[in-house]
Amino acid sequence: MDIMKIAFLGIMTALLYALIRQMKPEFAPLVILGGAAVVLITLSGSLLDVTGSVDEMMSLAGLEKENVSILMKALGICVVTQFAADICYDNSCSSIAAAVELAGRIGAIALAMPMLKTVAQLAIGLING
Amino acid sequence: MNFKKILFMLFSIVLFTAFSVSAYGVNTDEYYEDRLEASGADELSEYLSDETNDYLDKLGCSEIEFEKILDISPKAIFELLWDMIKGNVTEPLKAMLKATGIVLAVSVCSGFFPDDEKSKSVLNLVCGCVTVIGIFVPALNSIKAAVSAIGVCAGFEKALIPVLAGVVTASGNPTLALTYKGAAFAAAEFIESLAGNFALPLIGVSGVLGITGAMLPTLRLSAISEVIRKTMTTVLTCAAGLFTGFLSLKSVLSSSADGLVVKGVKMASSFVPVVGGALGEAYTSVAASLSLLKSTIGIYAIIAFFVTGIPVVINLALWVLALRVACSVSELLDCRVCSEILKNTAFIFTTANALLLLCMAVFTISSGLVVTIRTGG
Repeated sequence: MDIMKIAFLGIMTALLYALIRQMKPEFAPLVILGGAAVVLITLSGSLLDVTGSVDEMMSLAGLEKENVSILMKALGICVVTQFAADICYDNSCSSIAAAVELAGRIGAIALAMPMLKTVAQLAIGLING
Repeated sequence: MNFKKILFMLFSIVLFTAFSVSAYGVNTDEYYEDRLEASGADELSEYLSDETNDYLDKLGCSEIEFEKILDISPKAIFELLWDMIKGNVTEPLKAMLKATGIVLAVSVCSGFFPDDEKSKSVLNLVCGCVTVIGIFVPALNSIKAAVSAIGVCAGFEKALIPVLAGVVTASGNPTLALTYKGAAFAAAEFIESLAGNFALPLIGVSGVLGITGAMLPTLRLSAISEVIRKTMTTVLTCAAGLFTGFLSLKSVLSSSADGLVVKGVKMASSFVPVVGGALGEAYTSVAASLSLLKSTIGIYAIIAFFVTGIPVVINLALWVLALRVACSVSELLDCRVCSEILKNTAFIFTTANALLLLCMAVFTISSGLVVTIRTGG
């Protein structure tokens, strides 16, 4: 990951957005989207490295792969949701942003449901002795 | 006249031979062996688990013999404790590494958490679930072992009560035997019931509330969890204190009552002509032999309680240590969810350990009191 490249890309996107917003405001969000997509693509390699390391840590700890993948997916859902909601907020669409956030939370909870069920069973087992 | 005298003397001799009582010396060693067999103490080991019998074997007191119990050296005890530690350290150590791994992974993941508080709480919930599943599943076996150890101790106590009460009665302490039988049986039942129906479910509820509170901090469940913990600790402490005090007082009182009986028997024997003194001595040696038997069985029982409970106590203590180390790591990495979950899990282990220790203490004290209270007379 080249942080200098990403920082430069970010600043350039912001400048371009400010410029286009003056001339053609309807295209300004596209600039933001494009810039964000480029940053995410640049980041993807490093992101895969990090998730791989976390995966390794979890398997070293002896945790089932299934649970780790749930955690990673939930994390991914929340990051993507946050990213989408922020773009919506930037374009003054707060109601859409709130809906996207809600969808993200529901998605993450739905993913975690099997784990929640296991935890509930453990709790019942513990209480019943 | 002479003929009458001779007749009277002959009649006296016939009467004396016909109604004479034979007196035999008592072989106290044989008497001890007979009583040991008759008391059913030999079958006590059947109420212990195989693991406990193995430990007793290693300690050199697999049978109820006072010479063997006397031969137990401090070295043998330390070797046994070391064996127990070695046998129990693997699982908690693995759990510590596992918990540390989970904490590291969760803290890496938390770097990607969004700013939105609601999404953050959902991710905290997921991380909490991962931590609970990762740590709690292997830990449950140790909790089950604690429950099982309490059950084994209570079962052994119930088997021990008639044996010890019989020996105590035979040794001239019927009131003490009655007191012991009643109180110890009540204690065994009460402890088993208190542990199974009150303490363990409450430990579970408190632990679960604590863990849920850690995953969902908005629910503020820690206060309820704290109240349950305090109530449980108070009830357990009061129950143990009351029982021990009650049994001590009643045992001292009944021992004094038995002392009067023994003195009465000795006094009555002193009125028997010629052999009265010997009878008194024989009674004392039989009572001493039975007292030795009583002490041997009592001490065997105490060792059995110790050997049943201590491996589990060591295991739970090592678990607590492992969880506290992992908790320190999570606090160091500012992983609040993990640290709260680990703290609450450690609490479950600490309380289960305290409960097991309490049960062991009650059973040991009830047997110890019978051993330590001197035979009246």
